Amino acid sequence: MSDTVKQIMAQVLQVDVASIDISTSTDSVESWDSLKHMQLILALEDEFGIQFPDELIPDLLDYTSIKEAVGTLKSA
Amino acid sequence: MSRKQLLNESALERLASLLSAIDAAACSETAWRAETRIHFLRNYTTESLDPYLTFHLMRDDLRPTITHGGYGTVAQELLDPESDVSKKPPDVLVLSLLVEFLDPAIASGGWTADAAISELTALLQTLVDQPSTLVVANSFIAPIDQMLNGTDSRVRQEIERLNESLRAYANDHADRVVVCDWSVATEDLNATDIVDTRFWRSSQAPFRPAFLDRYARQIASYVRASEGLAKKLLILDCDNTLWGGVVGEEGLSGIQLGPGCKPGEFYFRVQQHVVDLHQRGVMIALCSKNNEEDVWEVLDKHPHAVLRRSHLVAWRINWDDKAQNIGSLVRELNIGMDAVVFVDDNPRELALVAQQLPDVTLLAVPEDLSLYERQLVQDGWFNTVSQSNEDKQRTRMYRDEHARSEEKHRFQDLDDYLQSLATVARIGRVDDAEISRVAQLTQKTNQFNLTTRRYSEADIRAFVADPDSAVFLMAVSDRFGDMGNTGVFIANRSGTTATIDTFLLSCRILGRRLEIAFADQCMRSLEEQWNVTEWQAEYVATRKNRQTENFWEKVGFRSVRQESAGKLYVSAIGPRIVDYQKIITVESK
Repeated sequence: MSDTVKQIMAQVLQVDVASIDISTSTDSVESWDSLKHMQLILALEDEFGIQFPDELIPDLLDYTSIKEAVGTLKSA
Repeated sequence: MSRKQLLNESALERLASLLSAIDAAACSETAWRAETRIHFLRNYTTESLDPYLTFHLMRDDLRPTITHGGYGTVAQELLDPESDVSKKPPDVLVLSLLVEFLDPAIASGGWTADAAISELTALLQTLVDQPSTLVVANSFIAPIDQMLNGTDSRVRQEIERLNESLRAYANDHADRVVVCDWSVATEDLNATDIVDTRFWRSSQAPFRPAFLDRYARQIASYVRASEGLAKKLLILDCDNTLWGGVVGEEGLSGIQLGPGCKPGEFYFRVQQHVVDLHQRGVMIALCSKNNEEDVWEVLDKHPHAVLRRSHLVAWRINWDDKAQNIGSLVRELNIGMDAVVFVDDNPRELALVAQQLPDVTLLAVPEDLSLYERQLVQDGWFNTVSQSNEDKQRTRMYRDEHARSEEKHRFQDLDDYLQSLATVARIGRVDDAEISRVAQLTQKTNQFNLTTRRYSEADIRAFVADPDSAVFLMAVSDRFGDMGNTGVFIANRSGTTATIDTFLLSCRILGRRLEIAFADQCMRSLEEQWNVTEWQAEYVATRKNRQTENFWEKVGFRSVRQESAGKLYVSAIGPRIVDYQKIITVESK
């Protein structure tokens, strides 16, 4: 699953998949603006068939919290 | 792979695959037919459309550059000779508006469309006055907040009145304005497939992919048309394409065609649409493997056949290879292969044509026939704009002539427009009840924020308590309603020098010189109270506040030091730029 998360992030943020690790966040990725954030959320939802709750979306600003949120929602 | 193959319809099912298809297609070696610049004049977040619009344009080998204007600054951008739109007019302008921002009064009871109609007409008039760029406007649907909870029938009627006035305007200016019909694009979608309330609330981006894709296809069709790439010829197979069943086996009475029962109804509606296309000037032809007499029997004698022999420009009804048939048919009509759409239910025939004639656009009859008519319509292949070069010239002449007679209906210049907004700025020191709003604005404002310092409520309280600091708040309203507290100014003094620590405005109120008014008023007030003789101000660059880079120069400050992270400015007290006085009424709170 974490590979797929990385892949989606790479596709949406237009960065190399190998560059995505636990240090990846909105601060480290130049292209990660609010539009890309929205696309990233929608792309992850498409891919995993999940829906992020409203209040969680603004906090999903780095690889680690995205991976955890996807994991939690997938197993729910 | 060719660009067309990379941009396969199935890529649209997921956003990630859509984005990678676009990336791959951008690098494809197929030559671009043209570069095309599209600018959105909008009052909500339209950026979500970009991938869909890019996708559909790239399919026709058009390389798009898509830009988006400020929120609700349509007239300002058009009238300001310094705006990007004025300096470098795009190929197509998309006027993309939500009714609730066109006239916020829609949220209150007893709303009528009158104000929205005159606002929209004035905007369109201003647009039509610009160099002859094609304008693609949208018709209106219910306010987003009402879509999920049901809309009042009276509000719906009033919106329809607004749409009628838009259509009438577009009809009268058919060479310049076309309408994307949002009510058609939404008619068979559930509200939950149109709207995503999460991003509507957080980012004013209301629409879901299903709707974005449909809207983008419509815009793309008009861009294509303005590039002279509208399709001209529709070639149809017969059995299971124009009717259900095989006429050669089942006979005239055995085939399915006609209103009232499925699947005959679906074919009947497609035939109606084909005849409609014929009436709009599209050439219609048949290419099918049948005995010719069987086909004529249906077209001439079937009680529900809408498509008749007289509608056809040519046909190839025989048992030869369809790619060869289409090739000879198109040569006979002397048009380009890229102006042809071919519809067939047989994937083998389609594959053959795709391989032999890659420039022909193909449509496979969908297995779910209820989607058939929409798939034929949705890309607007045959949409045209009545804008030839002659039209363009004529438009220019007319424009000069009519400019004088219609003057009172339109905004003459930016000041005229801004005056018409009747903006009132209420400016003053913050009181206790407003402290949390001030803190919130410092935390949330990114774009028009000179220093981007984030403060908590406690921080703001400390500024307010300190006699050497001052915190100002601005509330803005105009003839459309109240926009609330939307600007913060914080300054500190040391002797008679005052330093502007924070200066920010919410992006909803930009483009109407409120930033100048707000800065000037706060500074005046402190010059009196603190006897300020010198001002200092800063610009701290972030990824998002580029637009404020030269703000202090604009007000009259002088740059004294430039660092990679920003600039430091000083200004002695004295005359500042105050070109807001005619357009903004300032009140103290």
